Amino acid sequence: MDKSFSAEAEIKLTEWMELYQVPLERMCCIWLKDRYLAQDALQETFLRAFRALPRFRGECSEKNWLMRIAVNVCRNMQRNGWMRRVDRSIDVQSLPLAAPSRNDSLYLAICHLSPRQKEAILLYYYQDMNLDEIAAIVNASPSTVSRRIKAAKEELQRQLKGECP
Amino acid sequence: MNDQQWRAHVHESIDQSLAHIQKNPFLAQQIQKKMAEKKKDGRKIAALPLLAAAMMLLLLAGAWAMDLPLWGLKNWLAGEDRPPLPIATSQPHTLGETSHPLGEMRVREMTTDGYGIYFSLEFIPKNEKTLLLSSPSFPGDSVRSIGISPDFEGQTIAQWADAHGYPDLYSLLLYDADVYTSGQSTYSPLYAGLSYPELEKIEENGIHLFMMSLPWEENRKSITLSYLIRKIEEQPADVNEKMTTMLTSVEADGNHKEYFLSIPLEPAENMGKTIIAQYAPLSHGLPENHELQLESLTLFQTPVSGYWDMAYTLSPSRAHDGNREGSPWLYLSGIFGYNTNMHIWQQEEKEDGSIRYHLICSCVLPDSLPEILKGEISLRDPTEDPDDDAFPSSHPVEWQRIRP
Repeated sequence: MDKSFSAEAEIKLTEWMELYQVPLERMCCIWLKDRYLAQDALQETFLRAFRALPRFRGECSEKNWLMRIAVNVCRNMQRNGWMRRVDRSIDVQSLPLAAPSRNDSLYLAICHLSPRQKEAILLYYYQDMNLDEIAAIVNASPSTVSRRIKAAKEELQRQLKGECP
Repeated sequence: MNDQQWRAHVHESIDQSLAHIQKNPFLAQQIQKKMAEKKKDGRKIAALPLLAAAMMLLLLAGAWAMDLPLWGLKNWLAGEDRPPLPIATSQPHTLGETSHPLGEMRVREMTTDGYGIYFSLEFIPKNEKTLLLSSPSFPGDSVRSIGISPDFEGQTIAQWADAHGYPDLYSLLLYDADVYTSGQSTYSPLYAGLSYPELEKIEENGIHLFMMSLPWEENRKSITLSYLIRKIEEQPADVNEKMTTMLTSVEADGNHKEYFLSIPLEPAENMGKTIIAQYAPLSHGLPENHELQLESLTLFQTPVSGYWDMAYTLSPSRAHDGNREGSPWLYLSGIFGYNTNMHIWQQEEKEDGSIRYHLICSCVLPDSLPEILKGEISLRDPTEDPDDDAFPSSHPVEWQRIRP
């Protein structure tokens, strides 16, 4: 084991995994449309967080900090050459291990949002973050984030055509 | 449906649809294993054209830099061939892992003017005959081909190193670690950050000097640099493969430890600025569907550097166009040369919903300013997928000087 893997950092990392592992991996899965890439993204997120832990100055909550790292990891993975050359527009339904549920329609509609809208919806409604926090993460103004959420909701309603209550 | 209902519905839908994703009891071990293997990926470095330009800079610097006895931050900021600027630079205390098996790494000079942070990083090798090159020299590339283009007639770095008795070549990879880990790297103007310096030189005593800059950011208290030094192998197993790898990612492996330096930042001094000249758009070849209104180009000078400031406005529909908002994929080139690490973006939203942007870039202002400024704007087609990294199209643009 790496010597720098201090006991204190290890405890912190374990605590974060306990709290955030599942919602983070689910968010990455929707983002990347691939269960296994999501697992990679999750590992990379915690790895980067661990490495950067000595420089974490508590200027935002640890959850926001982890989200910021996860967003960047997913963005980077999406932007690499392989992801851009692979058609991931339809494979959500055929995700390995993905079990159909009665609520699939909204989930699938979210998967089909544009990256920016998906990002805004996931952070706002799924990670329960506020506009200011999201703005800091995605490097945009709160009003921009608000507009993205509004546009995303309109798109979801259009896709669901009344299914959404 | 109100926000609360949306939230509940989204939670329920995602949690049910992805119910199979549960806690992985082995995650901690997997991460520890990954750390032990010291794998790292995803560090994109600058695009090939920038690298090519930087390589040429490197070659030029290598050719003449050793003859400049007072070469340093002030000379660099003054445009190298002019008298040093009347600025006070500091020698900040460099914290962190300054000691490397090959030598010492620390900041020699630093100054800020509220727009940029300029500093010189010096590497003092234990062996004077250590040649450390910045990242444009791909570690996996053949040293015999570095910097070679079909019409290049000068020495390669390898030939120069042979002639000057340097047995081994090493590459230096530099990152702005704060930006990298903060999640800002993809869209931040700091993206290219410190991947490579603007100029570098070797002093007579073998000390390497790397001149760097990055945009000043309010509230930033320090810079954390990470650096990695690797030996450049003469004959990589597969040059094409290595090149591809180096253009997309840089990995620290078990043989190459990543080191971290921390440099405290003083608050930026309000040095003021002097408007040197203003220009209005005269003509341009921008397609109408960009809905982009060029407004002005202002040249100004701080005691540290010259800058150009291009103002333009995006229409309300384009400024808030779904995925594209907040991403002004636009660059201006050809204006007195420019510093590739120093793009500062500012933006303000107008009452009608349009957004005015300022793209500010450091440059060396000439003594005699032209009446007409010519440049080239590169930007993406707004109909393209914003997540597609297609190369932007270029459009000529001219500005006419405005007399007060």
